[in-house]
Amino acid sequence: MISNYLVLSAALFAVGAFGVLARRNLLIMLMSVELMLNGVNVALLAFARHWGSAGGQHGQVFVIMVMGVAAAEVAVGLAILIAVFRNKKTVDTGDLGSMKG
Amino acid sequence: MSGLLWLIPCLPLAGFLVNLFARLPKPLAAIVGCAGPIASFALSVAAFAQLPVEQQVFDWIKVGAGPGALSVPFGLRVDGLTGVMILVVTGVGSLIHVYSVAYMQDDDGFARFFAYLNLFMFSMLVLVMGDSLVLMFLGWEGVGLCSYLLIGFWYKELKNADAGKKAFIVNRVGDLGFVLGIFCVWQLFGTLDFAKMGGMPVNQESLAFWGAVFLFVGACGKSAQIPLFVWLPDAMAGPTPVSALIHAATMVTAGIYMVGRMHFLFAASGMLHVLGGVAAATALLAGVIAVAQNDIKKVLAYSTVSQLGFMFAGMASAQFTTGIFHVVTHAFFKALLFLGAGAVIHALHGEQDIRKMGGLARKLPGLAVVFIAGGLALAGMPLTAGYVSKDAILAATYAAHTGPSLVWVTLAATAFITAFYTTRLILVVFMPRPGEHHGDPHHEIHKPGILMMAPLAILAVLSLAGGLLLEKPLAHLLGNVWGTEARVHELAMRLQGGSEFDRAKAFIALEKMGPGVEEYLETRHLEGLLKQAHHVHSLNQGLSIVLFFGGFLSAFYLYGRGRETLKGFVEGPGRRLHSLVENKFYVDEIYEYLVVAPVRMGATVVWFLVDRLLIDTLLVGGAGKIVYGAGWVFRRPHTGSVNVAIGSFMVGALAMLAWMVFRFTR
Repeated sequence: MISNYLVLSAALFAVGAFGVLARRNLLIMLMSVELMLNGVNVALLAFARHWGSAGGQHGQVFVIMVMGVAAAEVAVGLAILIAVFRNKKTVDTGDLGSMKG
Repeated sequence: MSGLLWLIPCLPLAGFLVNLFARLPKPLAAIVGCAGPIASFALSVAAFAQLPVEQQVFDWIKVGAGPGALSVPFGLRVDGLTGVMILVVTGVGSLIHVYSVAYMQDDDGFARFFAYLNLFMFSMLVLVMGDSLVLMFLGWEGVGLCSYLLIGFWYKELKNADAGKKAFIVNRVGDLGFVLGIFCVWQLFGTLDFAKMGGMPVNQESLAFWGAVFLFVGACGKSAQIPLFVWLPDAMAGPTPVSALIHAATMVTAGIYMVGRMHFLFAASGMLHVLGGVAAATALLAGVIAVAQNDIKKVLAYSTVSQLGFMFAGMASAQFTTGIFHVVTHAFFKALLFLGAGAVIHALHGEQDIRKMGGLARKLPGLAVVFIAGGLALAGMPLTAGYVSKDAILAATYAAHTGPSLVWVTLAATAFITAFYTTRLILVVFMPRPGEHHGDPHHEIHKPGILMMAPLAILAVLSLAGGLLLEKPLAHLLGNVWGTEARVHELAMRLQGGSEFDRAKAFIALEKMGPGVEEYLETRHLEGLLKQAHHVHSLNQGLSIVLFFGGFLSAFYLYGRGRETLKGFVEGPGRRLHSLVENKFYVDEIYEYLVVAPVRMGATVVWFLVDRLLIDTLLVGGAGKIVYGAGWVFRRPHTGSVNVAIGSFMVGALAMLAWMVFRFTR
């Protein structure tokens, strides 16, 4: 039943999006981004399974790609986060307003 | 010789370049500065011996092709008229250069002074040697520039810089006239070459009229005639040799030279009448002003304006030789007077007020002798150069109007006044005043050295003897230029009306005009006129003598035994008149009120509207304001909040997604 997987995928994505938009802690926001990515991954796998060999193995390969990119992204993101923390002594986005025009 | 003609103007030019850039020590700068003019003088004499000479140096301006094309070669031509002019310019100029070595020896700007003087020589020589109006205009502007530079030579004093500006700006008016005149001449003849246009018929009379009017305006500016004479008296702010060279002997006569060059145009357009009126009015006005001036250079300056009026009157009588003759003699005696005045000023450590001088004859006898020689020539003592040429102009004016006319009477009155103020000047400066003690007898006086006295002595000889010596050769020489006097005569007759008899009388007013005159008359069976011409001449000669002695004796009385009478008049009934004349009839103030103030007011309005409002506020300021405003608008969304940025990013992403869904799922 593909719709169940899609509901799960949408739910994961929505939770992640909410976390990114609403939370102010950079660490939490980074984790929420991971949730969103995984929500997408679920959808990709579901579609790959649904279409079976007719659609080839593209969906599954794409998921592996996303996980790889996500790993790299987290590494960079955490590094930035640590750098921000060292400089500003905070990871609260409410206190990071130096880009104000 | 004709291959070397270009050297005459270019040697002083080389001197200018060397002295401007090389920073030579003073003795070397003096040698370089004097060598150019003297060498030019030698070359001029050589050129003069083989008149006429001409040389096309190079192609200067070429515009278009075929008929109507403008081609102005850098061509130099020396005919009788130019020959006389270059001899005067380089001859008197060389003497003044030598004099300047002594006069300027203590000045910091020594080399700069000679550089400017040499540049002036170059420009003046181009002016008189150029074979076309364009080349003449080049020299015309060049001498104007040098005049400006040299009037403001001691630019550290604001007064001097202002005088330079005044000369330059007043001359702008005249130069605009000159340019417009060139346009008219081009339209009229289709050529700007003097030799070519000289032989052409004058067809369009209105064009010829306006061309002559505009050229006359140019001449008025350069040669200080009403209404543009106001700059010349102020030009005395420059060093005295400059006054002698530029503002008395040479540059200011450029207008007379130009009228002589373009005589056919002036004769054909009937402008000579206007010329005569303006000239006579200028001569009288300036002469009267000179009577009441107390600055030795101002007296001479107004006298120069007055004498320039005489020269123009000579030109206006269509006896062009008389005008040029007066240019030559005036160059001698006025250069002498200015240089003499310079020596007086030098001797008295910069004193220019004649009321503080007096009794100088005993202290500086040599200087007194040469100065008095120049003064007598200016005053018109019989047989001196000034007498001969002034008398010729009077006679020519008399004959041109076939009898006593307003112009003639005015000139005669001016001749009287000239004798009067010149005598006054000499008496006040050189003669001890009765009953007054003058200065400290032990007060040190700078005696002029040999470098100053030698040029003065040469000029004194020329002032005394030059008139009689040069009259006939000059008439003969210049007769060839306007040449066929018959042509002048014919033009005058055709366009000024009057019977042939009257015109012929005008034509021979100076029976010394040239050897061709008698033949001309015989072929026309008008021999009887010769007798009349003699009569006119002797009448005017007698009158000139009477006028000289009248002016001389009345000044002698009023500034000698009659001092008390004069004092009583000036302080009593004549007080107002005296202050009117002393203040130069308030001409400067009237110009200030009529011309300068409105121009300044207009400039202020334009400055405020165009400069302040349009350019500063609207364009320059406006561009900045637009950028600033746009920045303000675009700055608003940049709150600096990470969440808002991500939110708007998501909204954007969603919007794109929605658009794609909408676009591709149809």
